[in-house]
Amino acid sequence: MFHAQRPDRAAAQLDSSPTTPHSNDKPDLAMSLHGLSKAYGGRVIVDGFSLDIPRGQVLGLIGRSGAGKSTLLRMASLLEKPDSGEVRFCGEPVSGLGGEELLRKRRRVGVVFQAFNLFSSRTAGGNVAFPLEAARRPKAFVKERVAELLGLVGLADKADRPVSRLSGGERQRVAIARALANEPEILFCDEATSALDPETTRQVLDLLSELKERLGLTVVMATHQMEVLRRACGRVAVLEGGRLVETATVRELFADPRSAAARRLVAEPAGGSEAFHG
Amino acid sequence: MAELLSLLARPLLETLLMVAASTAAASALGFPLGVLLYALGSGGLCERPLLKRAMDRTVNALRSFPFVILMILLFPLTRLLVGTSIGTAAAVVPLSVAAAPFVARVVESALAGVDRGLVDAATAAGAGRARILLAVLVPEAAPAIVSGLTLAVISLVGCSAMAGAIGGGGLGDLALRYGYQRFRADVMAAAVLAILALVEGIQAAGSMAARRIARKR
Repeated sequence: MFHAQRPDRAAAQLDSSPTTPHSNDKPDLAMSLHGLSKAYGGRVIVDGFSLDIPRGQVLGLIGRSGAGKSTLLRMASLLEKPDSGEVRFCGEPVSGLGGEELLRKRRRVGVVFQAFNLFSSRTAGGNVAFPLEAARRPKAFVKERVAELLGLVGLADKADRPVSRLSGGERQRVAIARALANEPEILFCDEATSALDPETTRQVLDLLSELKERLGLTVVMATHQMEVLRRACGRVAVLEGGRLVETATVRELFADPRSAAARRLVAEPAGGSEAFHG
Repeated sequence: MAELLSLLARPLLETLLMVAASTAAASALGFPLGVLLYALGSGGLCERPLLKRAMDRTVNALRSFPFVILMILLFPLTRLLVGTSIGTAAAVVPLSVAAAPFVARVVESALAGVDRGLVDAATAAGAGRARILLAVLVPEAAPAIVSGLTLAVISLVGCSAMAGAIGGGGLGDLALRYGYQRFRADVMAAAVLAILALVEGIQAAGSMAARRIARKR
């Protein structure tokens, strides 16, 4: 019900944000990344990465392990400050923020992790409530919204379960509900299905696609599973050595991969995605 | 037998008081210190490597003092705080100072043992540092903190017996002065058995508390 307001809000933002030239050029961007770079201990992990992510897109981010996918996602979701470059939400620069302003911006993105990262000290419902508590929402609102979110991911009856008593698929659903709690405009999934078996992977991907349709979400999925691209993504960005080497639609990528990195990734046997991590 | 029990009653009460009071004081000092050690350390909520190193040194130095020496060194502080340096109340001061760094390490390592991914998830949810600490890290670390505090309480029972030797009273004092020095083996045995029972009881209570927290998860 709260997501239903999004198109109005988005429209309002477009009207009222002629401040940056960029937002005038491409007004329908959920996020744009400008020359993001990050190095740890002298080793460059992400190297001048730029990409525009239109609203409503489901973008796959592929690359072998160590290509910089996770670091890029951490910068885009404001978990990590880039060494240089800039992240913009709807044309508005959000890098270099601090304090309360940074916390508010982080609530506009949701992140789903490979290892679920649920709080074991809380129930399923308590996990979903956490971002709402962090946003200081009133108790009654939190209760109502938690029930709604758990319903959305098909776990309405499991609100009081400790997370240790949920299956892998159920845990990731709780994590998805938690990531969506504050109505983010963009959802980042960092290898969200890599810890799940193939059948559960398909269920979670279908759930994400369904949520994307219902809520008008923009989704970015970092993955090494080709299955994820085929089943859930519209476009793909290929990352190698921290650089963007190719963007294409999923169909184009599989039919005619242009970069060497993409050819290698696509050449993986269909069932062999599990073994790809090396 | 009745004589033994009546001999035990007061020292037992004194030991319980010493251990309870110094546990409370050591936790009050050690908990914030442990949080600080965690927060300032690498991977913490606000890393300050230099400050962290200085605090590490201080905590290690405090922990390496033999308790008897620490007790003597702290006489002036004890006199300032309690008004005297002998007696059960006076023993609480060195006991607290000795146990606080231990509690701090317990808290630090319990917090450091919490999966980094949970901090990421809480950060991504837009939670500030205070909320991450109080609503995520401390509850997640609770079983480890309870287990560690149990160890601290038990080592306080041991130290309180030593404090007894310098007029702190308690079961250690009874065993030493009444049992050893007056050749009353039965009194010494009774006092040691009482300490043993106390330690067993504390360990059982601590384990049960930790289990109870874990069972809800």
